[in-house]
Order: sequence, then C-alpha cells, then structure tokens
Amino acid sequence: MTYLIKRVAGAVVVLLVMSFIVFCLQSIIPADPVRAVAGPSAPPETVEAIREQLGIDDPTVVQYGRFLQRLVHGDLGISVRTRRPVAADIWQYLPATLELALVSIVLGAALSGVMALLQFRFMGSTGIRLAIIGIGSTPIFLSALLLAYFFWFRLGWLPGAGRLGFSGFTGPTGFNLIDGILTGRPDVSVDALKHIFLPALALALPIGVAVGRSLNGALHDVLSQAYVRTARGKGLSETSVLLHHGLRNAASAPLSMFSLQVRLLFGGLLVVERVFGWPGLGLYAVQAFASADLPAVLGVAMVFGILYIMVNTLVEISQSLADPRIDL
Amino acid sequence: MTSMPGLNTQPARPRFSWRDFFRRAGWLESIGIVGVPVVTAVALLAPWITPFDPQLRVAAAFQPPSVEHWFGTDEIGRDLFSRVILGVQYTWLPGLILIGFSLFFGSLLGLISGLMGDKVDLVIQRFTDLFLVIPGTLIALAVVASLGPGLVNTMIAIAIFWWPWYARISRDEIRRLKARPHVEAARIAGVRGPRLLLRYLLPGAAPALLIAASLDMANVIMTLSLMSFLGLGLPAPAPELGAMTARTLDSLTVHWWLPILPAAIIFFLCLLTNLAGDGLRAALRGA
Repeated sequence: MTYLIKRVAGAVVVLLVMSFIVFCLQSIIPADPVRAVAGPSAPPETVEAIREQLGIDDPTVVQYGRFLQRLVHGDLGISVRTRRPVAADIWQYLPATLELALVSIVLGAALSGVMALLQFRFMGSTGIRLAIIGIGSTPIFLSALLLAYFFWFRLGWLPGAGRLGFSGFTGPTGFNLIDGILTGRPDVSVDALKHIFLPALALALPIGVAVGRSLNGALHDVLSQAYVRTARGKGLSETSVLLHHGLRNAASAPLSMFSLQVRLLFGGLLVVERVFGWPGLGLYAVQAFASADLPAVLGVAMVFGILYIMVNTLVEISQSLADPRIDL
Repeated sequence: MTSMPGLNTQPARPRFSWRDFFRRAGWLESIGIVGVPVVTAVALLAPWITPFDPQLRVAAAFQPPSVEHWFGTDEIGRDLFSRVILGVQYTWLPGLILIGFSLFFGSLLGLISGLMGDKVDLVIQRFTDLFLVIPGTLIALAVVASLGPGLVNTMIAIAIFWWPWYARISRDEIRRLKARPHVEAARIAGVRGPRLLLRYLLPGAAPALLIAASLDMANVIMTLSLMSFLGLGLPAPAPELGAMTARTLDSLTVHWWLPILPAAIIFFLCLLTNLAGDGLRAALRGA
C-alpha cells in the first residue's frame, strides 16, 4: 500500500515537472501577446491595462499556478491552424490514436510470443539472429513505407491510407472496430480491421522483436533453475512447467522491456500516422509542427506525456504484483 | 635481459591482439566494428567524395537507379546517391557528438555520485531518476517545435535527455569497483583523488560504458532521423536523410527510390552500429 502511494506520488511529481517545462515553452512565444491584443498603435495606458489584465507582470509562480488551473479545466488554448480550442481538436483525434496504439500493443505482445518461441526453437541460428538485429535497426518510417509499398501498392492486399474505406460513419465510442459491432454494421468493423492492420504491424514489429528477445533470455535463465528441475521431476508436463513455473518468474525483465517499448510507441505513432494518413493525434501533431502551431504541439505533448506517465506507473505497479521482491 | 629457463620474469599481462579481439567478436559483428570508422571517414569527407554535386541538377529528373546514378535522381535531377552521402554526414556526426557528450557528462555525474556516496549520491540519483522517467523524446520534440526547427536546436534538445543512462551505468560500475580488493589495496597504500580515479577506477568502468555507448548509437541515429522526418531538422535544401524520406513520401508509388533509399541508409547505419555494439560486448566481456 505504501508502495502504491509512493508510486502515484512519484507520477504526480513527474507530471508537475513536465507541465512546468510546457509552461516555460509556451511563454517563449516570440510575438508580444500584449501588442497582439492591443494592436500596434494603442496608447501606453491601454497597454498597461492589458498587461495588468493578462497578468504578465505577476511572478512566475503565480503565472504557473494559473496555467495549471487552466490545464486542469482542460483549457489548452486555441490552435493557430484550425482556429478551434486545442482540447476539442485533441478530443476529436484521440480515439483514432488510442485504437491504433491498443491494437499495436496487442499485436506486439502476440508477436513477442512468436519471436521468443522461434528463438527458443532455433537457438543460435544466424538467420534468426540477423533478423532480430535487422528489425531492431529499421527506422519506423522505413518499415511503414515498405509495408505500404508491398502489401498495399504492389500486392493490393490491404488498404494503405486512412481509417475507413467509406466516409460518413460515426459511432458512439470513436473506436471503429467496436462501433461497427455496436451499431450492427459488421462490414465497418471488418473494413476498419483491414485499414488498421498495416500501421499497427509497423508499430508492433519493434515491440515484438525487443520483448521476444528479452522473454527468450529470461525463460532460459528460469528454466535452468532448481525448482524447475523439481517440477519436471514431479512429472508435470512441459506446458505446465512453462506456464506455472516459467512464465511468471521470467516476467519481470520482459515486462520492463515491454513498458519501454510502449513508451517508445509515442514517437512511432507520429511517424506511422503520417505515412498511412491515419487521422489521429500523431498526424495532428505533425501538421502542427509544419505550421508552427505551438498551442497544438504543446497540447499533444501534454496529452501524450500524461499517457506515457500513466503507462509507466501502471507497469511499475504490475511488476511489483508479479514479483513481490520489488519494493521501493 | 638474460632469462632463466622456465621462469618468466615479465608480469603476467596478456598482450592485446586484434586477431583475438575479432575472433571473440564474431565475423558478422567484426564487419560492424570495422564499418564504424569507415562510415565516420565517409561522413567527415562527404563534401569531397560525392560523385556529383549534391545541390545541382546533373541529369534528367526522376531517373530510376542506374549504373551512372546508383540511387537515381530526384525531382530536380540531383544525384540522390551524392545527396545521401552528404546526408550521412548530417546524421552520423551529430550522432557521434551526442553520444560523446552524453558519455562524458553522464559518466562524470555518475563518477561523482559513486565516489562521494551519501547525500551527494542520493541527490544525483533522484535527479537522474527524474530524467529517466520523464518522456524525453516527446519533450525534446516540443522544445524543438517551440524554439524553431534546426540541427543545433535538435541536438541540444536531445542532449538534455540523453545522459541519464550513462550516469546510472557509471555510478553502478564505480560502486561495484570501490568494493574490489585492488582498489582497497590502492587506498590503503595511500592512493587518492585523481590518481585513484584514473588508474584504478576508470579502466574498470570503461568497458561497460563503451559497450553501452556503441549500442546506443543506433538509438541516437533513429531519434535524430525521427526529428528530421517530422520536419524539425534543417530546412528544405539540406539533404537530411529523414527529411528526404518525408518530403518524397507521396511519390512512393511512382518513384519508390526517393523515399525508400535514404531511409534504407539509416537502416544500414543502425545495423552497423548495432553489430559493432554486439561485437564489442562479446569481445570485451571478461577482458
């Protein structure tokens, strides 16, 4: 319990530090905000009044406090590019990104199992080793491009752009895979699945390789332990040994690697959404970079940062549940 | 020196032999170890060794790869291979500088932390922990987007978040070494300060740091090219590898070589450094 409180408190501290960095960044906008409101020819008294009103002369701590207050109320400013509140934009694009991220994570977990099995089966094979180093060395935009080029353009098996083949569909949750089923349109779900497969695979490949490698290493260590020999000696089947004695004890290192990879996913989302024209937060952020839309950039950074810290904290807590020896 | 038969008066210090080193590293990994200095040379000499002027029109536009133009030509008719060679310079050298800085600064902080112990150690460790859990790449992206795109801004933003791993590794190594008998013996013999550090502690900590740095090079290159891909690097005419891919993304189905070949070079650079790191780890382990 104390562990849990410590973890959550740690996460809050990290969040505060991050929000302070974002606060500093948003206050270095080159243009003078007072002149922007007052106009270039305003008399000094008006300028003074607006300075007062905007609170520019207040101490930094007070300004930061106001910034936090706005943040808690979900006020992230107005986007320069779309001229809408950043929070509304983010709310609109978030489901697409979450859907892609979740499918990638599930696919990545499945792939890591396959990779670990392959490595376990063909131990020391140069081919497998080279494949692992190769996939680990591939920048995400290259794997995304190659997947799009072959499976969409060359073979025509899967669509290579967007979320859905038909327009005008909106569901209650924003997750097309689920909405299709909820609204009794299974064709929508199937189409959404086809669209999500390639971008999700591009994101899942590095997860699968890194976690699979770590899982394989951890399993090797655990299976040479004495208690595993005892379990085998008791006459337990190999599957039972693997599931009851192997996996749980080998989970710690691969879980760390998994959490690291999930955290790396945020950078990958920007790239993959750009390559596949996936209308999510990543694409929104890339467009914001291109048009120097600072409120939008910082808003997305803040939302991604919060998700990142949440993932981190959840993984740490689940690790301590899997392995009671871990304690702060 | 007259030597007595059967008695070796030389101290038992194994000679370093390159053959032994490469044998331990493995043949595939040796290619990586040899490749790293070669790529560094190419990056340094890039402006002089490109077959064509990378900024000028030298042929018709959109020529596919051929014997004369290995990587084809781009939308203006510039030689893509020459531009990619120059792009290696824009990626590789900043990567080396970033790794060098992180290695130096992180190790220094780790050394201080490990040597001083107690309160200093605690403060530095908390500071390092904070930087380890903060979403560094995301904040670096936001920093560059706010300060304005550019290679220097990108490098500064990455450098701020890159050193903590090195601080962690060097601190753990120093603490491990401090308890070893040879360091204890040196201390009892009155060795102190810089001499203890340089002669007794650093040589022991160096292999772990070097291995970490060589395996980390691929991560730095990927992050740099990610920033460049997202348009946060140098502006348009500069041949940055990530940006070259991003700018020609829409021509994938018509002129596949324009986006794919620069990205493939990034893959090649990462593969080389990953192999070199694995080789170095195998060769230095136990040495």
